[in-house]
Amino acid sequence: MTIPFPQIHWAYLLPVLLVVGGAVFVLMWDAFFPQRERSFLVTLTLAVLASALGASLAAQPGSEAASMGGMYLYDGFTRFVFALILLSSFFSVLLSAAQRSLEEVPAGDYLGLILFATSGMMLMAATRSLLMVFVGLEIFSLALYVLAGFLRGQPEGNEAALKYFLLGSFASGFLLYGMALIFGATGSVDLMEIAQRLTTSPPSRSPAFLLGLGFVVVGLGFKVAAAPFYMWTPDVYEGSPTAVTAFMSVGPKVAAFAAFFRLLLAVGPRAGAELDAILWVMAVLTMTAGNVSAIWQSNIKRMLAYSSIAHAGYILVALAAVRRGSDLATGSFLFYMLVYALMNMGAFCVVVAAGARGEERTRIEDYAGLGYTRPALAAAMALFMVSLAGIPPTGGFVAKFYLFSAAVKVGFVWLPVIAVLNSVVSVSYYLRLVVLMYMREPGEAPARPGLLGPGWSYALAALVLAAAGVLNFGIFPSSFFELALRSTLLLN
Amino acid sequence: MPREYVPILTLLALAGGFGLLTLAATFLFGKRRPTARKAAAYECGIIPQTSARGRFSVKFFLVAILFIVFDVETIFLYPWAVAFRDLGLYGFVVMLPFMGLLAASLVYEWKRGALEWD
Amino acid sequence: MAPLEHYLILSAVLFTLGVVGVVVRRNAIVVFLCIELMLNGANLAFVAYGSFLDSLDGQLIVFFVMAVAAAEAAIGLAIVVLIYRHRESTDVDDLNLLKL
Repeated sequence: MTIPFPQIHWAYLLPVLLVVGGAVFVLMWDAFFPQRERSFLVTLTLAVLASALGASLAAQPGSEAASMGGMYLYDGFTRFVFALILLSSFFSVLLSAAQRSLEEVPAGDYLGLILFATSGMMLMAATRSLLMVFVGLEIFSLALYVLAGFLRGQPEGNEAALKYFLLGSFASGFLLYGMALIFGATGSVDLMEIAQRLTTSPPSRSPAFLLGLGFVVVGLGFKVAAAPFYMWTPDVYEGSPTAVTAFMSVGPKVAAFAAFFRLLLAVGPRAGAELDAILWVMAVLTMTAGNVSAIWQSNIKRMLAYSSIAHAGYILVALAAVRRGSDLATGSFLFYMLVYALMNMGAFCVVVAAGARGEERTRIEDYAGLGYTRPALAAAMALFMVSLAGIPPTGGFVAKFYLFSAAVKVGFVWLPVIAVLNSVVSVSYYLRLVVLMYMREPGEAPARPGLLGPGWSYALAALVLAAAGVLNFGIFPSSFFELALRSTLLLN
Repeated sequence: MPREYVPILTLLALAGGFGLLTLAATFLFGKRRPTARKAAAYECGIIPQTSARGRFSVKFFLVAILFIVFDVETIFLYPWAVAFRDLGLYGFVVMLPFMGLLAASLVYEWKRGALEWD
Repeated sequence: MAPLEHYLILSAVLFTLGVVGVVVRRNAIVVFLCIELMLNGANLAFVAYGSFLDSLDGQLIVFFVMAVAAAEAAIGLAIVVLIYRHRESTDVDDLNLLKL
């Protein structure tokens, strides 16, 4: 008996291999030389991420996209999503190096986990196989559970880790059972084969298939923090170290949404209108719940958590449009994620940079008068808030504009209207922070001397990068939007 | 279909019946002269040192946690071993990175002192 | 051999027991056990479908799920140990530092 060997395109696989290899190296280096300089490992991690980004940009997707029978798929979509994931990991490493409470933790373990999580996200986004979606999701989830409780002395962090772990694995259970049902109804876990089975002999009406699809939507909805499965988000975001929170708010969402997109592109046009209604309701509930709850928050990390829920709601609008077969929606999703990554990372970076040793500034009240005590930081925060609210001339406005107009083009009427109304509501809490920073006198003891720790250069780099990106995409969006649009062409 | 289960049911009935019969017989016919030694917990004939319900050190727990991961990873070696002849040199080579990762994690645990008891 | 439905019903029962357990039980370790029950319900469905469809994929997937579940168990138990060291309790209702 001869066993056919899988075909592997090594150049396409290189970005993932670099990240995994880098993770193992960083981990081992710290185990063998624990008392060496920390900044070496940080630089090394940044170099690994940058080289993986370079490798994925250099690898032009061709006609032979599938390696290992579709377990690994490298097309234009993958390429763009890799860039997003690697960018968000890059930012999180910068933020982690700048955060003072993370100075004492073993750097190799921490950075290794960030790299392992990155590899999981990449694998989840770059596959046609539901099995790999599950494995990739678990790789990054397990790493994030540990990262959430990484400051072992902090009870809040431990609690966040346990909550995240229990609810996250609960969701994984749903996802897996849904996959089992889809496998049973169609006889395959490969999305392309599933799509073929659905067209030739339509089992799309079978209860097992629809139930399975529903469970998978629940599982993925959990990971992207969509309503009604977002309850864990504010607690976990508040309890985790701020740099980890920033990572959680971007990377996993990109990966889970990418898998969601692939799933919908495969089964969407054939699975009927049931999904339409589900996605519609999920999108509306998610953005409304996120925006309304964000208004009442007094902790800035919780506010940003609800804000990220609201943004997941906007992206669900694109998802609903994709189910109706809109390429424009996929392109605007990619562009939106790019802008969202920059503005969210930027906002968290300000939170990190505003904190001092031993005391983080997490209450919104702490930001009163920041415009006088630290004008540059406040200006950056104001820019990110304006962009998150979707006000021109920032990237947030352009991204929202593309996203909602894609939904309009495929015939949604009320969904974009509700989304725009939601954006209006969101202005209130984003601008409240800006008003607080500029219109109020600073509270007692502005912790100026504490802020410039050894990591200030990392924070500065992250801030400049994020601010420049947000402004650039707001004023000259077209070239990048076209790139995002071209990244969808190879999908079908 | 249910007929297939008849032997299992018979076995269950016989096994359970034997146990009950033995218990009943000793209860009815046996003589009871309990002593402190006899009433103590039976641990393979060795005199018990402490109560069996004491707490275990958390170290056992950590070793178990470390063990379970390696234990279950061997699951991937079974299908590989079964098809080893057909896979040939290629199969051997592609398995090396996997084994290498496992070895690396063992080295990591060892260097980090997770394998030391004290 | 028993028909496919029997396996599926058993797997659905296991999964449902797991879900109900997660919702009603309060001890973190028991909650985690219930999650494992859910995964095993899915595993049984995969194996049953795989054997019914004459596809090896079902068994293959179960291998991966078992490996993932072991890693999850290791990390989950480590987190529970961490929590227990701080507050001498594994009751999920005691997790109230972060308001819900």
